Amino acid sequence: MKPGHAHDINRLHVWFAVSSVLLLFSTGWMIWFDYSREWKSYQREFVQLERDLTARQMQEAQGRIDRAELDQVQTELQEAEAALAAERGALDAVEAEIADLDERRTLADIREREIKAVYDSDKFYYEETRVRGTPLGRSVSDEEFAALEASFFEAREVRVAIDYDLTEKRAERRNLRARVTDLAGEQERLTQAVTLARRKLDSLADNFPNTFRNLPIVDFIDPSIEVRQVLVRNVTRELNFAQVPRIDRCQSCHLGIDNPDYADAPQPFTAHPDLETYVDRESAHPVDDFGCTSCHLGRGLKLSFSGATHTPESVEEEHEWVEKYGWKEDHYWDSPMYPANLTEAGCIKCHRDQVFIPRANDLNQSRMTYELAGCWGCHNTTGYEDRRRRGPSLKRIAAKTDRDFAARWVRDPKAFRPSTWMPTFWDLGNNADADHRARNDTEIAAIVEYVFANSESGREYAAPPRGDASRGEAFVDSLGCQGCHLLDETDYDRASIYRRRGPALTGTGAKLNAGFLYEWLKDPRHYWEETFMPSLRLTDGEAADITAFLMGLGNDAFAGRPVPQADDAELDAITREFLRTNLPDAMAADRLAEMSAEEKLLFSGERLILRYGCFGCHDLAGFEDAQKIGVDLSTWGSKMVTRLDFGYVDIPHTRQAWLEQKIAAPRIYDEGKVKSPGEKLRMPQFGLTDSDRRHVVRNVLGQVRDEFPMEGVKTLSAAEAVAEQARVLIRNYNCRGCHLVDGVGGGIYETIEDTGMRPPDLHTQGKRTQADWLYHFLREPDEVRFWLEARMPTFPLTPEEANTLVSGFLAMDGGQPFDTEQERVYDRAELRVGAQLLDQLQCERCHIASAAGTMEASQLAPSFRLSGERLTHEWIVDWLLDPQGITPGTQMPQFWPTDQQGNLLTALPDVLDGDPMAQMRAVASYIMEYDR
Amino acid sequence: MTTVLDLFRDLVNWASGPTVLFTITTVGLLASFRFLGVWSRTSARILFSVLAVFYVASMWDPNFFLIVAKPDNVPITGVLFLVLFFTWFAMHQGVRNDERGAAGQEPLEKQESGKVWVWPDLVYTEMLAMVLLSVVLLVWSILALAPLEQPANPADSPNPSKAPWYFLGLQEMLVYFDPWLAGVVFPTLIIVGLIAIPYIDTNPKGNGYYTFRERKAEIVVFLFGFLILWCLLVISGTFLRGPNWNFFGPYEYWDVHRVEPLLNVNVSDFFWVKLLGRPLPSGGFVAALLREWVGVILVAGYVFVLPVVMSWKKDRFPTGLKWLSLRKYYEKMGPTRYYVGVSLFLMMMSLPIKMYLRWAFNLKYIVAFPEIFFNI
Repeated sequence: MKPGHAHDINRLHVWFAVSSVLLLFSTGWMIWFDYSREWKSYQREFVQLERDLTARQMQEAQGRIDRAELDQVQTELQEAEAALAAERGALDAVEAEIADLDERRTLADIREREIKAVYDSDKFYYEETRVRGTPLGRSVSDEEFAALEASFFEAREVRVAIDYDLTEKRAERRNLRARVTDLAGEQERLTQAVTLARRKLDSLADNFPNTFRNLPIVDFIDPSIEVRQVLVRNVTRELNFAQVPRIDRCQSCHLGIDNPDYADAPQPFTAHPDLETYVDRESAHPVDDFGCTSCHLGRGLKLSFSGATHTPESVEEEHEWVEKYGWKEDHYWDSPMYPANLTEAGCIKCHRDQVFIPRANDLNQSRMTYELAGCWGCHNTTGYEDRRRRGPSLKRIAAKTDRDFAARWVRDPKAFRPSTWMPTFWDLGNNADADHRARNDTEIAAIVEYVFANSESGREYAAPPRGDASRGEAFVDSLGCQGCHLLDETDYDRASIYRRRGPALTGTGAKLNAGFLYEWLKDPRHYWEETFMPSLRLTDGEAADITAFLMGLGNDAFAGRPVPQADDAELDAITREFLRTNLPDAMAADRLAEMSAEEKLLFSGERLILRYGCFGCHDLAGFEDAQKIGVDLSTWGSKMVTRLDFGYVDIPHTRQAWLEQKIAAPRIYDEGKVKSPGEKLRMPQFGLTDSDRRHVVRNVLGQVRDEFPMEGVKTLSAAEAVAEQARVLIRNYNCRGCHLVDGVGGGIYETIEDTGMRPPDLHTQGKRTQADWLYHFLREPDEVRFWLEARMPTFPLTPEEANTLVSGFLAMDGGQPFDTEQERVYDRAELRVGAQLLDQLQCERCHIASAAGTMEASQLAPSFRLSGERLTHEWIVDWLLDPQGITPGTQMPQFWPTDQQGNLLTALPDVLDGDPMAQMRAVASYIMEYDR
Repeated sequence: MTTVLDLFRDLVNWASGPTVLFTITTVGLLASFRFLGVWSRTSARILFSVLAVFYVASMWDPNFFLIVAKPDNVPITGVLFLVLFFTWFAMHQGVRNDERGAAGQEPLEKQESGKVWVWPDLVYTEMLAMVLLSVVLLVWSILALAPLEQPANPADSPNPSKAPWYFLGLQEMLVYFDPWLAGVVFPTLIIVGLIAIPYIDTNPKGNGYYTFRERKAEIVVFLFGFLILWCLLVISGTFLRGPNWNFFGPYEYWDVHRVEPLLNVNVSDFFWVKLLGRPLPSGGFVAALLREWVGVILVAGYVFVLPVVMSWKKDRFPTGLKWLSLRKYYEKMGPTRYYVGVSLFLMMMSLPIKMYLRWAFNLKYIVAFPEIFFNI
């Protein structure tokens, strides 16, 4: 070390050299780290994809060009240009004049503007002088101003004159060139698609400017690789009590999301699978108004795969993602993306008030499952406040079945009917061991005792008349029972959800008392005012036959099961447990000693019903006003994952995993915990199949707390609101069990192979029939399609409900309550033509009033006799125009087909001057008048 | 093998508990001032090697890794090593100078030339420092991405909710004191006390050179306050305080559901309920005073009487308590400086005192007037 130095300078040089290299290296690393970010790589990859696509499109466009036409235009263009060249002299002269005028105009314009500047200023001072009298700055006299004004007008005059000449000369030039310009335009039009594609290809070309602008470091100036985001104001996000716009950057990687050309591109470039409904500018949910995270959830601002909180839908997918994208769970986001198979959960937050959401097929099924499983019986759910209880009333149960059946049923309902929605409460995770067996039986015995002791004595049913079981079976097969009830429970979750509305009919004989069943079939409301079960207008004989058949459906294995009996010691223990909740132990013991066995059973039964919440689904005497026992699920989808107790169960810490597990094994989170009977989890086992479970999970996950500005939420129009009220009734009375409504339902179709025997599709029902007729038909159905075996039931509709249904159908299809056609007096001549056409087209071969031997059901059609009071004129024309469009698969021929240009054709050119519309109107008019 | 590792884990987990850790480090620190040989290069090498091996080896433990490798916590590891290094360096130099002084030599610093060149010595080294720091920051920012979480959600506060690392000492104090003390009075006193140091400590020795012997009391008090009552609390607050502010050993999983008993009692409960077997006096202000009289006297004695008593001469104390006498300082500093200094010192010592009272007796408050939110 040299004197005066604190350090050895040479060593410092070494240090400096090393650290400089390190700095260079780490700076390079930083730049590369930024340059190679996930989304930038995707954008680079996408450019290649886009190039390929555009090149392909260009080729296709080239192929589409009409060569002959193009050649023709080009030849003509050459000729025109040659002709123009021949007149070169005239054109040149005009050009020279225009150039001269242009020059003069520039000078004149400068002069005008110079004078105008002074003139404007002087005008101000002149006005000031005139009005205020005292000069402000300087004064301008009348003479001075007049002189200036004159010179300004003069200068303007000069310029205007030149402008006029210029316009004239330009028009002259245009005329001279007109043919060439037109032909060039024509040529451009023919090659436009190719030109556009070529231009796009140029902008994507792998050339110096395109590469340079995206190079590291310089890519801050004007890169083509950039974050693409939408700012959504309608569907906001909550941030510290404030609603802030949502910013979604998903399209930075999902680059082909709005382009149908990328439907088969690899992820993340794939187009949205339903551009008709989403993303597209013309769809109901354009991306600029809704963004992506409004429906999918997730963190829209984040630009990495994991950070955007993509959520795998299965363990397999998780493994795949880990391998492919280095996925790991990002728990710094309260609302991670829905897994792809649950995405429709996202609809609910805005479409909450709708009982049926068009196109959301998964979700509609999910909501129906949630509804039928009766989750809302124990869990408060917005929209279910005023509903009738889900299960049957137990207030008169003693009239219907006996205690032994009830006890066996309660112990294990699925053993009796695998498809039942009634859940199991006993022998589950936290009460299945040997210690609990006696206790479980005692609890069941106590509950059954309470229910039967509180059952109204009601009427005693006499034995039903004897019926023929085989005829009964035929009735059950054909009358339409299977629209709501399953007869065969195998693979019951594959059956239409609407057929799972009522209980399956298996084992009925082991359950019901025959006298009750007979009366119930004839009039369900005699037993229970609120039942949705309709009357099928059965005769006594029919009812007796069906009763005979159903009572023959037994379940011996179930009937052989032991009946749960109360165990004295357990009953004492249970009773004492309940007594001790508000009595000291000694007093509880005294009280217990005073109670008879019956008293103990009733006391415990009541408390147990309160604990397990039986009244959530069943009307029970004494529990009319009891509170729901479960957690409110109205906003469960927003519940913090940290608030969920995962116990000792090793599953992913996500809402959907917790929920799936909870439904699959409702008591599992008690595993390993020390709990007294009263503390134990109480949710029963619904035994849902995998698909049913997923449906419930989807629905619950979608019920979130988010609030949006009105613009973002679906608000029903007046017509939609009316239709909505009708759809509530359609759900309650399960119309979709037999009919297609909104294209969904038709549950019973599964059991009727012959398409002609199926209850009708209600598409365009609101336009098809007259409001009056529909109202009366709903209240008192009569026969329209005589060949159908399924009977339209008589539903216990109030006049208000029937009106609501009619208005709803009208609103759905844009029909009118009063059909003005009815006022029309039909022209005799027109009617004659109609009759003639009906004859020529042989309409009445199928539209007949009674069976005609050889016809197959699918070829039969309603008789015209009813049409006058049933159908609307407008609809008949619509129907004649396009039967397949209204009822896909119908046998009705399209008599007036259209050619390729969309023009209607007619097979009868002699009638009504061959005007197809006039012919159809004539047919419709005749049909309307048919019966008069 | 597993069992040895498990034993080691259990031992470290146990030693990291607040009681043991605090006691061990305090005793260790104080002992090091008695056995000055430990400030040698060799022991520093051993200490840092052991610490480094401990750190690196522990990274194989998933729970340890989870906490230490959290981007927020990385700097605290730096703090741990840096604080230890600079403490060692200062003490090492001080002890060496003291030895030289005892041998009649002048301090090392005197030997160095008083002047060096601005260029290249100063500017060059400054630039080197700049370049290296840039390298460290760049690499760090690439390897550990900014620990950004989601926007705060008022309905869901994180558990544990931790103050920024430099306030973790204060947050730890909140465990033992009421917020108005731990959050208002003590921080103010810390700042005031730090400002007051030059006016209380007028000892001119040690200016321009490291020494321990000539500034023993000042260094011991400062290092205890800084290392134990601040740095240790920051470090343990970062690494060892988990959900619900429960203590977790470095190899333990931060289980949110772990429940610790909370059975803290006040001095008034000790006096009235446990000693006299009567319920607490209730009803009105006088009853409250009556309830708390023991605590009030204890606190008043500590704050107002103890400084006076401590200024007495040694011979007025009974044997065994003679160490309480600070007469020497009273005479050296004069009454004003003495009383200000001792009061600040006693305030500082109230933290460890309260900590030990909590650990030993589950003591919650010495004086508790919940009626007026006044608890000590």
